[in-house]
Amino acid sequence: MITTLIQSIFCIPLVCLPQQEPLGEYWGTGEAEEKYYRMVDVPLPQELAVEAGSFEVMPDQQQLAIATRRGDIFLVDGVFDEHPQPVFHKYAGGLDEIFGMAWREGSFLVTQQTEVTRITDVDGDSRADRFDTLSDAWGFRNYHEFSFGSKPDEEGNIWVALCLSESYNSKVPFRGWCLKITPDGETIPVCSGIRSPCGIGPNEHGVMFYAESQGPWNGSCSLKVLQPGGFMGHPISFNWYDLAPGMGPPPIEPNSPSRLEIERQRIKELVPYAVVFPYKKMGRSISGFTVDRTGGKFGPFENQMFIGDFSLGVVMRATTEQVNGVWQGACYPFREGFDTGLLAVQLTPDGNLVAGGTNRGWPVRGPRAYAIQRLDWTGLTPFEIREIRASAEGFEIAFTRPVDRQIAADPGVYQLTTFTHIYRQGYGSPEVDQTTPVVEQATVSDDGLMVKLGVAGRVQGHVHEFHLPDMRSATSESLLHVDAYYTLNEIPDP
Amino acid sequence: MKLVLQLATLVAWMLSTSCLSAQTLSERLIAEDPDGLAKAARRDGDIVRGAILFHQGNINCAKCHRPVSERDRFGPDLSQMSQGTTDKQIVQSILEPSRDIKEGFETIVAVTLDGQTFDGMVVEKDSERIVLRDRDDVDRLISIRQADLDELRFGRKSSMPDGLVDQLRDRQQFLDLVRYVFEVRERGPAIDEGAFPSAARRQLSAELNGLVLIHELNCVACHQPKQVNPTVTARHAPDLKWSSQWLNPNHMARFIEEPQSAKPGTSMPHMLGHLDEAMRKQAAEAITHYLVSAVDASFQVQPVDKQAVTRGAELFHSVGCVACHADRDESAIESVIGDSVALGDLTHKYNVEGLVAFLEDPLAVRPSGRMPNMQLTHFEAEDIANYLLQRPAPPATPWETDEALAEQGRVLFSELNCTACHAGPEDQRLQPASQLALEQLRPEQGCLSTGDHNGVGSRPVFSLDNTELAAINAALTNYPVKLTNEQQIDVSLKAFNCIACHDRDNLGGVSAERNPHFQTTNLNLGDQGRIPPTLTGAGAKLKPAWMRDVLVNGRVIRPYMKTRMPQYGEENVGHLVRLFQETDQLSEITFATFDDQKAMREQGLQMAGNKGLNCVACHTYKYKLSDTMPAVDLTEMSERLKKDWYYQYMLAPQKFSPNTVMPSFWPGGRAIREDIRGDAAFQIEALWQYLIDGRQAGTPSGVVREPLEIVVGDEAQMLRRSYPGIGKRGIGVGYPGGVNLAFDAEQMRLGMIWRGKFVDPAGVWTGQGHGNVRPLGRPVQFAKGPELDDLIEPWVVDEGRPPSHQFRGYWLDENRRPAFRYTFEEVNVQDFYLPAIDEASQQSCLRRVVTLSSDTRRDGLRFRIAAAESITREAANVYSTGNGPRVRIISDHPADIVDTAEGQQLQCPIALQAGQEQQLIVEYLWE
Repeated sequence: MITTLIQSIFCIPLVCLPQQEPLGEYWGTGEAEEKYYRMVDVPLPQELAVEAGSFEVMPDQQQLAIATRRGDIFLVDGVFDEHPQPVFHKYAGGLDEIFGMAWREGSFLVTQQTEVTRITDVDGDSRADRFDTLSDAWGFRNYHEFSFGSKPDEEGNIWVALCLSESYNSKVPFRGWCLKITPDGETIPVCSGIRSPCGIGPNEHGVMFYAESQGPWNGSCSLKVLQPGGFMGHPISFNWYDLAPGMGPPPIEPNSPSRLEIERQRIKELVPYAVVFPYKKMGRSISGFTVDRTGGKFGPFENQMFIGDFSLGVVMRATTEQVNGVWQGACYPFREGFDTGLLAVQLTPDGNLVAGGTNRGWPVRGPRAYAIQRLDWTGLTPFEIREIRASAEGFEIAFTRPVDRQIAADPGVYQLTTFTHIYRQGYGSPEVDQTTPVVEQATVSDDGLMVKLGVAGRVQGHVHEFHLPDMRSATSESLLHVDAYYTLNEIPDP
Repeated sequence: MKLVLQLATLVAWMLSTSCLSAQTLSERLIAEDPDGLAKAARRDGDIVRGAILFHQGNINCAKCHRPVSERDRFGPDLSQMSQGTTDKQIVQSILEPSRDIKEGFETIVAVTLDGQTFDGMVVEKDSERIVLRDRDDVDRLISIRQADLDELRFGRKSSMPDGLVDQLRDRQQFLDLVRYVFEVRERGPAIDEGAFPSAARRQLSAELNGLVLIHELNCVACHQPKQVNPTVTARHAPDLKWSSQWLNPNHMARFIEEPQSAKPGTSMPHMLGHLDEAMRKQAAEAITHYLVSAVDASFQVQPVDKQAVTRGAELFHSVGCVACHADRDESAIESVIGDSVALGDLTHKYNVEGLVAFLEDPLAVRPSGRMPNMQLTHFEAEDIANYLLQRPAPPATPWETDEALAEQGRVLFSELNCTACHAGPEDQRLQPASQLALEQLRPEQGCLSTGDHNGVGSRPVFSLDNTELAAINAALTNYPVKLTNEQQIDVSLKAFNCIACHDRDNLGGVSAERNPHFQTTNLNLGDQGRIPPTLTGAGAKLKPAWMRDVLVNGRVIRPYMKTRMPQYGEENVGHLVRLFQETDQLSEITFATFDDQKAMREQGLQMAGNKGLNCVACHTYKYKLSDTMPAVDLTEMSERLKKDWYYQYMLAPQKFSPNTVMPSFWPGGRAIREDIRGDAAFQIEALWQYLIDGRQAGTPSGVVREPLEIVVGDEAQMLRRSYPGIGKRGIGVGYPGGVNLAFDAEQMRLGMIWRGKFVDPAGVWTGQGHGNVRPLGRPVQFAKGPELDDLIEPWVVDEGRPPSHQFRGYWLDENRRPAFRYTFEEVNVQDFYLPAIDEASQQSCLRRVVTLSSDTRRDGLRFRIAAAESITREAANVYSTGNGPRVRIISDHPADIVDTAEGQQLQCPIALQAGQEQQLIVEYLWE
């Protein structure tokens, strides 16, 4: 009886991803990456299913709190040890898929599917006994209505990104919206147009962003800024503007098929996607992210964003900048080969990166049902594109180590193409409108760490795809990753 | 009384079953009419299940009845069975093998002079000895010297053991198996299966062996060949910076002085043969002073952890250490297996920390990968290190570096050309000047001369045996410059000793002495579960990216195999991927063509399930293990395998993998099932179309999620999520004592209660989580809509959310029991439950304490206790509620039975004074 019932539940087909296209290949750089960022497994107790959804380093800098999809919060000692043999202590259980957790003033602030909850241990036995609902202002009727919560911003607000119903509709209040929950439980609608978020938090400049997945009105995954009053691109959630008087009237409906760049001229609320992650080249379900504030303990990428991917089990980097008031930036491959689908990443006090998640529910490349792994910087600096920024003349590319000046001064080294996606109601988009700008000039800085490119033929609104297989460091090494992708929403004025 | 009764029944049951089981399955079947059994098999036997049984587990018919050459055959090829063989004869032969023995498969009984008898089939026989294959264990060969032989006679037994059928579970399995054998007979011999080749073990030619040795001994460090063969990497000596950091300097000195006596079998040549004993000792010490002076180290003997020793013994003998090194007895004394790599007495050399560092990353010290990385965790490395260092270490003599001696050592180190082989003090190895090229070397001269090495100057003296010398001399005489791909592969397999575990075209394979140390976690897989796969045709089988993942990145897919695939380093073995891919080719085949890929994939999915070929009976599906064995994950097949290999393998698995328990579903090239018109090519293609979806491949029927249960111990357990009849905002609570409830935190009501076990969370903890939490009992559902509401104008109940109610959370008491908290307008509500015992019935019941308060006066409220078609008052404060539980109102609240559109409700009117706290106490009673 048990068997048949569960079997019948299990046989419901998964409908949310279009099936049968290949999952996506690795970059093929894993062997080389291991030299710089060593992967350390954090063994999990056999009897626990630790499907990590959120991490928090506790104030003692010794314990890692792990919140899970199965609704547990564990306080874990030993994760940061050189050879981790963690000891798990269950702080709370019975909650509903936790995708957001922070420790503030003696309590956990937790975003679970139903609500934002303050969780406290009042009697001091190291187990939670008070669960106070801060806000459950959104509707929750369908299992796919996932809720992702940020860590509190400077004012203590938690930002919650709410997935659409079935990831296509908005059947109950605020599905497809971002809500801001103040410390005393007030709920403030921030913006509409979200599709299926999988991570939320500040960018490296402290501005709140979220990770969006490929699907209707989203040609590819992207990092987007949660701009108050803004519209994130998917119009199905316009039906809740009545509940959000502070937001004004709903925006006009976007045309389909179109281009984001065209529609944002028509729809003033439409916020262009800050960093597009080209599908499969850069993950296919980008997820939790964090900013490296370790002061260089994690290598040469201080103050950059590190973001996981659920389907392919990779971690990527991203940088953003604001040009003409609009956020944009680039993403870069970083480390592949994680054993499971990643949902959350967290930097440790020692400056290592903990990543974890589960393979549950959607196709995942990695071989394990759930895992937590740590990336330890070995102290060796890889030769990498550190950051790309837009300039009036073209782009500025910063490297982690000095380049070979002669090679780097050759404009031919910078293979640059552009494309964009169709902005449409249909699922995802191929790359379209390809162009090939001309790199006319490459000027190497005195220290060899920066190259300024003069580029003719950049296209506003396009992803600019950099491919640098011929670049060499001053010590003749190739780049560890030869690709980077800059989303050029605005071109800086001279 | 009741207990006694139960015991009696139990005893009776045990007696009855033990009476039954007094007769074995074979005895029971032999007692049946064989004709009837044959008919039953035709009628009820399942051919797919039979095929799986034929190949797997304890019975493993395929092990003996397989398409091999006559010489290797243990049992007749069933497909060659005479068509005249009747169903009845087949049934009888399986049940009683010795009843009618096919010629050539009778056993021989050998009696030796000292009175031992052996029973088996003759494998080899010459004037020296006779080799029998043991009748009871086909893997066991018994060699008897003719001189010891007293008598040899035909046995009256078939080589097929009696009672094999008893390995089956029941009569149905017997029928399944028989049905499959009928099928095999009927379709006759395979059209294109071809017996897989069986040749004698191969050896490398003397020249190739010499070539390997030249690189193993690193002759090329001094004598570079003019024409370098890039695929052979020389074995560089250890990095001495590492060694000086970690090793006991006293050992180093002794080792340099007399390598073979400090570590018998070492490949380090004696470099000080030209010095007398005293000078030798001094030189070795000077060099050691020099080496140690470059690092900041002080060697300390470390204590050994006894428990780690025990774990280490197990690891050492299972992960693959003994593929190359000798195994050890209970006192950890090395056995003598001829070709083992010597370890020497490690306690003189290492302390625990140093050996752990080495085992964790051997390539850091010995970059040439001959000692590969065994993929040990830090803690496993500790266990093995403790095991290897368990005997008492010699006391560590403190080593004080003497500057003058170190300087002497530095000069010696350079003069003796130590830098040719060792990196360490210098970062790079240095090619010594003016040495002969490899091609210019003459056999039996210089390092290779066998004469007394007195007075030969400072040349290295290698301790080579005659075979090794002959091989090197052969290689020098006829230096193999251009190797074929096959030869290059052979040379690499030999150099890295891949052939200790794998065979390739009859080169290598697990030796008899080491065989017991190849272990499995799942015996159902037979030898396939413990012996590493053959490398014959590996390049035709595996896609290059996958092969690289396995060779270079440590990817593993056989969780059941205890022996690990080691890592040798990309620069050492990376070239093998290309070589395998270029060398191994399969004959071309034509695949089935089709138009509708989606339909094919769907057919493949059907066949993979338990109503088809039941692949999931053995194979893992997307991390989910099958019931029987963790055979390779179906969702990783297409990432690994080339399609043409897959296609040919499916037709005849044993041809590619003699040990496999994979059944052939197309014996004789023809399908045993009718799917897709019974066309083998289409069936195999459909499965492939299914498999190429990889991780996205659909779930075949028969993949069963194991039931989950949240078990309630001595504290309450909770789980939030959707419950039947409650939306997504349900909160389940299981109380000790087997009383459970689910609260609806959207409509602020008690949703349901049940007795017994708590819940099965599989509906929300598997897949994407789209199901419900399932109560493990018979729940009583309560009415929708909030319980506390306005008496006159309550919210009109629908599936949605009441507008004036707000959930506030819950607080747990010391037994983890929640008090739910919510507000209705200005009213604060706390809703607490605890299991209790009803005094009248002595049955468990659920007591509920609802605490209501308000800062301002609020009357005109009602609290709904129950709703039903009709409600009757049974006693002063007890009400029956139709199919629902009886309700007892404990607090002195009056209750009204109110008519509604749906039936009747039991309501308590509530009026609250400002600041007043009221407790409404109710009990729900089960009958």
